[in-house]
Amino acid sequence: MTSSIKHIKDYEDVEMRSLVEQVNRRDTCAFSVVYKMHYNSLYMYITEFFKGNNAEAFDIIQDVFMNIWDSKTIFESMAHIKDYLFLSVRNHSIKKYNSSKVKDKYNTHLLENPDYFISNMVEVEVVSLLHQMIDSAVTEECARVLRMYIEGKNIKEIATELGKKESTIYNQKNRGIEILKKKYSKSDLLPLLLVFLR
Amino acid sequence: MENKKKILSQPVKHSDKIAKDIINVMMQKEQSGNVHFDEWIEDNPYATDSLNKLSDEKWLKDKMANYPQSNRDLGTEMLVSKIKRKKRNSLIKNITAIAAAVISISFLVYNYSSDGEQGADARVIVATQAPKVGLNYTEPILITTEGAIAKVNSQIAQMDKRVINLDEISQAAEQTNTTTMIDGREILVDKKYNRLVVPEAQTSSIELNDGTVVHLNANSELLFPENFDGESRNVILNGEGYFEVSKLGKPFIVQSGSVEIKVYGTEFNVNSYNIECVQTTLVEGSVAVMALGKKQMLNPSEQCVVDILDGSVSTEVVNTKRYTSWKDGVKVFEEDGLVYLLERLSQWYGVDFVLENNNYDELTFTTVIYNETKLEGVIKLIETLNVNIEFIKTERGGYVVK
Repeated sequence: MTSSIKHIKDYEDVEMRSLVEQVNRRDTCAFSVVYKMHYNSLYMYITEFFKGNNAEAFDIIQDVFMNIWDSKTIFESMAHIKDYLFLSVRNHSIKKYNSSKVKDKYNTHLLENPDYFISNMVEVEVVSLLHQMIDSAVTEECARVLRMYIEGKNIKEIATELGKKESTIYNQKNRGIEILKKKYSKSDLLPLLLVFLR
Repeated sequence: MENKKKILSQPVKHSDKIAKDIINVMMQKEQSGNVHFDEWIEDNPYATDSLNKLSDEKWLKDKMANYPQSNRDLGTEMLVSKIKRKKRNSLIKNITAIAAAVISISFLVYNYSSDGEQGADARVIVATQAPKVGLNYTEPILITTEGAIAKVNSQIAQMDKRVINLDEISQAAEQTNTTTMIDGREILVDKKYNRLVVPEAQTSSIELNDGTVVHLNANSELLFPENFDGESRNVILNGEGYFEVSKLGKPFIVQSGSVEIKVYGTEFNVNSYNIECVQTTLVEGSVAVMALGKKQMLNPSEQCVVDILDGSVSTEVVNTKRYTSWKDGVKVFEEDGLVYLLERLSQWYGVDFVLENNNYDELTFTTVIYNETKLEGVIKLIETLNVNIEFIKTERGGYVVK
C-alpha cells in the first residue's frame, strides 16, 4: 500500500468517525447520510430475502432507522453501524416472513442460518461496489442515465422518461462510458462494468 | 435459537472486504490472500453458491438493473421528516407539560422530485400523525376538570351535565394529579379546561356555557373552561373546528398553535391540522386573526392562511361551503386534485398515503363523502371514480397509491 493511499484512508477514517459520533448524538443530518449510504444494499438484501417481492423493503428500512433513533445504542464504528443495520433488517424480515402466510419449513430454516445471511450480504456488497464505481466516476445526472441503460431501457425510452432530447441522452451515455474507461483503465473491473453497458 | 445468538454477538465478518476479493477472483486476478475471504470460502457452506450466482452474468446483470436507486432520496426525506416530527412533538410535550393536554397533529405534504426535474421519480407523500391523546376511544369523549369522563352523543352536547350522557362517568381517584386511571387507561386531566376529544372518522358538537356552539372535526380536540369568568372567553383548538359564537360583550378567543382568532359574535371555521399552517375561514360576522405579531381582519367569505414556516399571512376570498360542509355531515369536493383529497382523508382518518408518482395533476374529483363513511368505503369510491388509481394497503394501515 503506497503512502498516499494510506493518507487518504486515514482521512476517510476521521470523517467516518465523526459521522459515527454524530449518529450517536442522534443528529438528523448524520442519520440521512447513513441512510443514503446503506439504503441500496439494505433494500437489495430485503428483496433477495423475499425473493423479489419488494413491497416490504421500504417500510422495513424506515422502521429500522426509526428504531435506532429511539434507542440509546452507541456505535463504535461505521462497520458496527452497518452490522447493526443488516442484522436489524434481517431480524425484521424474518419476523415479517414468519408472520406471512406463505412459507415453508426449509426456507425458514435457511433464512435463519447465519452463514446464509453472511453470504447474502456478500452478494449485496459486490453489486453495491459495482454501482459505487459508476457513481464515483461520473456526474449524478450521467450516472442516472447509465443506470437506466443498465436497467435495459433504450435511448429513446430514457429520453422520454427524463423529458430530454435523444441526442442529449446519447451523448451523456457515451461520455459516461468514456469517463469510466479512462478512470478504470488500469482496473481489471472495467470489462465487467462494460458488460452492463453494452 | 443458538444460531441467532451466535450471529447477534459477532460482527458480520468483513463482508465488504470479501466482496472486493470476489471481484478480484471474478476478474481472474490473483487472489490477494485475504484471510477473511479464505475463511469465508472454507467455512461458509453457502459461499460457493454465492460465487456461482455472482459469476452468472445474467444474474448479476439482473441485480445491477434492479438496484433501487430512485427510492433512496425519497426514503431519506421521509426519514428526516419523521425525525423532525418526533423532535417537535417532544418539544411540544415539554412546553405544555402543565396543560398536558395537547393533541399535536402534524401534517405534511411534500413534493419530491430529484434534480428538480419532471420525471418518473416525482412522488408525493401525504402523511399525518394520529393524535397522541393516550386513549383509544372510538367515539368522542369529554374529560372534565375534575377528571370525570363521559362519552358524548353525536347530538349537540350541552355543558349542563344533566344533558350530557354521563352513564360512563367515573370520578378521578386523585384529584391533585394531572393524570388519572379511567377504564384502565391513563388519561390526562387539565385543571383549567374541560377537554372534548374527537377520534378519527368522527365529528362532534358541543354547546358551551355562553351559548356558543362548536363543531369538532375528526382527530381534533377542544379545550374550554367550565365557566367563562374572565374578561374574555378563551378556548384552545387542536385540529379543525367550526365555531358559532354567541354574541356577548366579552370577546371570544380561539387559540390554535401560535395563531389567535378574536371574535365578538360570528361563524367561522379554523383548520389547524397542520400546526404550522393554520387556516381560518370566515362565514359571517367579523374576526381578527393574530399571528406572527400581525393582525388581520377578515370579512365574510374570506380565508386567512398563516404559514409559520415562511412567516406569511395571506387572505383570499373563497367558497366557504367547501371548507365548512363537514359540520353538516358531508365533505364536498369540487374539481379538487388527488393530493388535496388525500390530504383531507389523511387528516380525517389519521392515515398516511404514498403516491407512487406525481402524474395526477390533471385528475380532479367532484364528489360528496358522508362523515360516517368508513375509510375503506371512501377508497372504493375513489377507485370507482377513476379506474387508473389503485390503493394498496400497507401493514401499518397506510396506503400506497398507484
